[in-house]
Order: sequence, then structure tokens, then C-alpha cells
Amino acid sequence: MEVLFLLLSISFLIALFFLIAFLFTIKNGAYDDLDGPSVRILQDDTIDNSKVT
Amino acid sequence: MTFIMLFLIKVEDFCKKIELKKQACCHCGLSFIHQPIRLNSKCFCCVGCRTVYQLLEGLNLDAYYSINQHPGNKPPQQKQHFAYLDDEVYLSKLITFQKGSTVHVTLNLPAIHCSACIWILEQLDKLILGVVDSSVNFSKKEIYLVFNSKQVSLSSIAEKLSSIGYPPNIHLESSATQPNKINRRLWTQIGISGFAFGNSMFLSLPHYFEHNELWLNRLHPFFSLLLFLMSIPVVFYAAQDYYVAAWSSLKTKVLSLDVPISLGVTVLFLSSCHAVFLTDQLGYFDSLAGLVFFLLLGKFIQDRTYKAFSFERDYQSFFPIGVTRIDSDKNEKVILLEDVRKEDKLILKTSELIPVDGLLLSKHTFIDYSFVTGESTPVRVVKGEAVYAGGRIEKHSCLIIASHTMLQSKLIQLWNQEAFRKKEEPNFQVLTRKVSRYFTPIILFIALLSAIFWWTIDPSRVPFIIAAVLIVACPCALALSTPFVMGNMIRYFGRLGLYLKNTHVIEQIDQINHIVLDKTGTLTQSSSKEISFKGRPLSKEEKNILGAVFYTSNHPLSKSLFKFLAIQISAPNLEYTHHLGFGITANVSEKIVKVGAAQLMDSIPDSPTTNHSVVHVQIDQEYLGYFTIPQLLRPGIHSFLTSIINYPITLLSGDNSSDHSLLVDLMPKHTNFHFNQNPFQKINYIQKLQTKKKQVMMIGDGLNDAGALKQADLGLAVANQAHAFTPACDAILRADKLRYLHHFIWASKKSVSLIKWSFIISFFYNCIGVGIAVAGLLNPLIAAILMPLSSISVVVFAYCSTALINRKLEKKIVS
Repeated sequence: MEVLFLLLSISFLIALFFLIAFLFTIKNGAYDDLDGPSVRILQDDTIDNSKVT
Repeated sequence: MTFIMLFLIKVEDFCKKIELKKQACCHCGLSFIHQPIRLNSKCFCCVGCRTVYQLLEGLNLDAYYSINQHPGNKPPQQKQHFAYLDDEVYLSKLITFQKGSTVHVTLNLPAIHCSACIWILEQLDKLILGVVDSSVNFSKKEIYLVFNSKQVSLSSIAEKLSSIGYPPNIHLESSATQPNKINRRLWTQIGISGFAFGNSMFLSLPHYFEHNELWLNRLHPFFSLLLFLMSIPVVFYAAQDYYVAAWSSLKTKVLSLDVPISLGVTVLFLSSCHAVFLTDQLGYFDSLAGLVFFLLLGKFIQDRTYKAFSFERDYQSFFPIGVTRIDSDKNEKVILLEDVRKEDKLILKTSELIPVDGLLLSKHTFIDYSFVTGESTPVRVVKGEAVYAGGRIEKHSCLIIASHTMLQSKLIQLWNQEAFRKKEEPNFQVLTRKVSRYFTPIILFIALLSAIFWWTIDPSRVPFIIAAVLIVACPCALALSTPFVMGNMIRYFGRLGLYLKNTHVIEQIDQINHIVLDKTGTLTQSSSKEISFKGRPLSKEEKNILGAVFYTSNHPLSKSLFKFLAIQISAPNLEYTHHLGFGITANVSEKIVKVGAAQLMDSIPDSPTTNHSVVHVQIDQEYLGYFTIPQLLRPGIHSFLTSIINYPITLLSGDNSSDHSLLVDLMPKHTNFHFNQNPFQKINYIQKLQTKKKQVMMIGDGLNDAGALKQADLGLAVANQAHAFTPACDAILRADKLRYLHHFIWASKKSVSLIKWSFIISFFYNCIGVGIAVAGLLNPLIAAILMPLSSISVVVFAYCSTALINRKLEKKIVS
């Protein structure tokens, strides 16, 4: 039964890790522009490379 | 055979596409007003658009045009001057970061609207030498630039951006604060409370199903500790805004919804701590985290309105931040607008805004006061005459001497009027506030009653009962219904062309019982009013004949044409027939005159293609030519006016009453007309209506309406282009959607009734919960089921019902 202490602690720590990762992305501005990426994803990378070079 | 058929269809398709392309400018997509300018089989509406195309093509950046059709913006016709940007005073205000010659700047570019815009603006390093990096924030329409100040100056970057159709919007205001921090804080709070909610639910679950299991009893202290630890950041960080709001509302002696929320959270936390540490039971920590999580989620939905619009504009956002002053040694120097003193001599270039009231020193100039009065005809001003702040210099750059400082100028005094300071606390009661006023006293009363009741039975349980009532009656569902219903509706409205400042506006629309309209720019378009005649020159006699014909007709076109011909007529005597929708045939002094549509004429050499109204003229079989009358009324204005016929309507116009007769025909019969109204009179009129307990909606545009828009309970600005200038207001409506206003009003009324329904749902849950609490049966399991369930059912109800309304609204507007 003691193994539950360990397992629960690990699961809690993993969850905590994801929380910290989430907070980190907030700090890096991932949620500042919610509409831009949806427009940007449709752009081809190739158009600018093939034409410019 | 089928192959050939398919091929033919393809060819036809292709031809159609070419046809489509021919009609619109390759760069900006606007239709041609003049003869299109051609370049390599591409057509452009103006030289500006062609120049941008050539520039981009020359740099191999013409992929810009393959991302979207007609992605461009029409560049400003006159070169804009940004030289003042290089002055230390501004640089220091705009720069966000500087290290050596590497400078970081954020500029606001209101013209950003599509993926091609992002693409071209992020290629700026290829376009401007010295720009190191550029990235676009699409939601905020901002560009973040890194450039080398040794190679390029900020002013030349700004000029280049302006020349390719992205003029930066530089104002003192834009250099002020960054709202990013608030946004990130809410995300953090949601993240933390969501984490706590999920995990504490998970840890509490075994207790709800198993009782007195050996393993559970041994793990209990460990579980409780974890739950307690997780709830600490939720209570002290994620929910802290509610305590602050509750405290400030208590100070103003208002019982807002934040009060019962804070009370509920505090009681939940304290009683859970008591249960865990003193009685060794399970607390309500999972319900606590869930409550805070749902509340924050509601807040987030409510805050997600359209950020592309700035509703809180004041005069500072329209005036330039710098002006050029000439000192006594004839040196030109750019100074801050605030630093302009009396007797300063200022140089104003073409298309610049006059920043302060003053006197003209140059010989003469033309000033366009449309910004202030809505009247678009430029005024001629000669040396020594007064010029007023807000006017735009039409022709010739000129010299003025300031007679007032900026704050003393008339226009700015208008902005500094009472009307602009009040508000925030509207004189109508938001629905939730009405309910929340009674909520707390009722809950406290119930708690007190049940405490007295239990005192007679079992005094030891009294604290538990009070806590249980306060916990379960938390107005979570109540607090969620408005943000979810209204937040959704705001997004739906935004897609259809009505942009609202915040969620309260929908409730305000519901309460409107008087509509005040502005004429110029709202009913009529602010485009040039010139009528022109094409054909052979008319003799005086012919003009007299035509004048007589136009005089007989009540048609608005005839009236303006009669005015255009400017002839004196004393009750003409003639026979005539009206051909409804086509024109008039008349017999004037033995001559057969036909005026009207092309179909009425016997023969027409060339039929003009414009979107203006055209009136052809024919006298005695001879075709003379045609008048073009630029459309004065906005298209669809008739259906708009008939749709709001159920409301009392007032028309306030800054112009004289010359259009009165035309407007009488146009407007509903019960309309009140008020002409020659200056901005202050407009404000006063609305104030007078409000003292009669009217809820006034003001529809207008232009700076001259700004005061009235602010004063009205609901200020609705009509905008031609989404990113065009709009004064401070509560809502912005795209001009082409004006005729659908009554549908938006209908949807707003529906939304308010949806909120009432969700109140009923919330009331239902509260009754069950309070009943259980009063009976002394509340335990963590019931709380953990009941509280999230009530929140979720309100959210689901809000989503489904608003989606239904939106579908109906879309059908009405599209069909």
C-alpha cells in the first residue's frame, strides 16, 4: 500500500511539471496573439524562398 | 463529348475570372472610378497602387498577391511626413528597448487585415535596408520592429510603411501602456485554478466512493495535505481580484456579485481548513478550486471582445504628436503639441490637421472642417482670419499663429466637457447587478433563519449550518450567465459587422426607447457632393427649360439638379408626365423634353458606367448628355429607416435646413428635425431627453458627434471601413450593415431574455442546494456534484441558445 504514496507523488509532480510548462509559455507570450497564428499557418514557406533566391 | 463540354466550362470559368479581375484594382481590390492604369496586363485604380506593385515586384515580393486576392491597401495620396519622429522627444516615447544602434520599436498599423499583410510586413527587412527583424501581432494590429539606427531612421521606416499602404498610427496614446500584463495574469490564474481543480477532484474521488477502507484511512492525512497545499494559490492568487472588487463595492455601499463570491470562497476555505485540521474530515477544497476555475473562465470569455478597435479614443488619438514651430530666427523645430504656447508660429503642410486655434498668416488657404462639423465642402480662409483646431489643410502649406494653447482650443474643450468624464457608471442597472443587490441579503437572511431553527434543536451544529448555506448558495451560475451569453453574442455580432465595446452594451440596446440620428455621414455619405454634366454645353435657354422640368418633380434627384442649375423660375406652366422609376416627359414651350433613365431616351451614343445616379437629358429628339449625381444617401437607408419606425426618432444635423424637404419624404412621419445644431447643442438635446427618463441611442459619426455619442446611453458610430477613424463610442457598426440594425436589436432583446432564463436555472439549483444545507445534510460529495453541475449547465445552456439565435440572425441578414 505504501507504493501509493510514491505513485501519487509522482503523478502530482508530473501534473505540476505541466503547470509550470504552461506558466512558462504564458510568460513567453504564446497567448498574446490568439488570432495571428490561425492566419499565418496557411502561408507557404516556399513562396518566399523560391522567389527571393 | 463530355471532355469538350468540361473544357468549355473551364474556359468560361477562366473568362469569368478575368472579367472579375478586370473590374477591380489588382492591388487594393477597389472598383475603378477613373480609367484604370495598366501595367503588364494588370489594372490599377490609381498611381499609388501601381507604385506599390512595381516596388514589390522589383524586390521579388510579388508573392504578396498570391496569398490573397487584392490584399493591398490604397496608399495615402499625399506623402505623409514623419520627420518629427526622429526628434529625441518622440523617440524616447516610442522606443521599447535600445542597445547601441539596435533599436526596438512597436508601431500600430491599423491597416493590417489579412495573411498577406502579415507576410509582407514580416519581409520588411528585404524592403527597407537597416531593418533587422519585424514581427506582427495580428490581434492588436501592431508591428514589432528591430532596426539599426545607424542605417535607417524611424521616420524613413514610417514613410516607407505609409507608402506601401500601411501608414503607422502614431500618437501619444500609443506610446503609453501595454495591456499584455493583465491578459497574461488572467491566463496564469486560469492555469493555476484549473490545475488545482483537476487534481483535487482526482484526489478527492476515492473518498466519495469508499468509506472506512484501510488504505484510504492511512492515506487520508497525505491527501488532505496535498489538497490544502493546492488550494492555497487558488485562494490567495487566482481569486484575489474578487476580494479587491468586493471590497471596493462595499466601500461604495453597493452589493455587487463579487461580495457573495468572496464570502463563499472565504467560508469554503475556512470551513475546509477546519474540517481537515481539527475534525479530520474531508474538506470542500475540490469544490473551491472548481468554483474559482469556472468564474475565471467566465471572465476570460467576457474579456475576449474585439481588440482591433479602440473604443476609448480621445482627441489625443486624432491629433499629431508633433508640430513644426518657427522661432524668431526662422529656424524650424519640431515640438510636442502640448508645448505650443500662445503667439507661436506654426507651419502646417497639406493634409495636416490644425492642432490649435489660431490666425492665418499666409495669404489664403482652404480648410476642410469635415472632422469637426461633418460638412465636407472646404472653406476658404484668407490672411488674418481665425482657423480652428480640427480643420484639415486642403491646399498649400501655410503658416498660422497660435491664439490659444491646445487645451484652450474649442474642440478640445468640447472633449473635456462633462460628458466625457461621466459614464462607466451608466444610469441603467445591469441585470446581474439588480439581482445581486438582493442576493446577499436573502442568503444572509436564510442563514440566520436556519441558525435560529437549529439553535432550538442542536446548538452545536449552528456554525456548520451557516457555513453550509453560504457555501452552497454561491452565485456561480449567476455570475457565469452574463459573460457566456453576452460574450458569445458579442463575437457573433462582430462577425456580422457590429462591434461592441463590452457585454453591457447588449443590455443597453435592449432598453433603448429613443433613437437620435445624425444626418451628415450617417444617413448621407461624406463623399464629394459635386454634380457634373457630360455632353455638349447647355445654352441658357436649355438650362431654363430643364430647370422648369426639374422644378415640377419632387424626386430628390430633380431637387438637387434644380439647385445645381441655379436658375430663377416663377411658377412654370407646362404639361408633363411622370414615368415612375424612369423619368419625366414634358412639353415646355413647344419642345418635347425627356429627362431620366437611359431607357427613356430615343438614342444614346455612350452609356456611362458609374455607381452614381445618372440623369439623361433629351430635348426635341436631340440627346444632350447626362448629369451624374454622386449618391448622397447611403445605400439601403430606406429599409433602415422603415425598420426603426417603431422608435421615436430625432434627426440632429449640423447643416442648415436646406435638405429639409428631401428629408421629410425620407424619414418616418413622427421624426423630429433639428437643424443648425452645434456639438454642444447636440449634447444638450440628448441630456434633455435623458431627464425625461428616455434611454437614448445616438447614431452618428465624425468628431462633431463625439460628445453626443458619449452622452447618449448608447453611442453607435457608423464606420465605412473597419479601421477608419471612429470617435469614442459604445459600438461600431459597419456602414453597409446599417440597414440590419433592427435585427441586431432583436437579437439583443433575445439575449437579455436568455440571461433571465439562465437566472431561473441558477435559482433552481440554489433552491435545491439551500434546501439540503438548511436540512443539515450538506457534505463534500453533494457540494462537489452540485456546484460544478450548476455552472456547467448554465454554460451549456448559454452556448446552445446563443448559437440558435445567431443562426436565426445570420439567416435574416444574409437573406
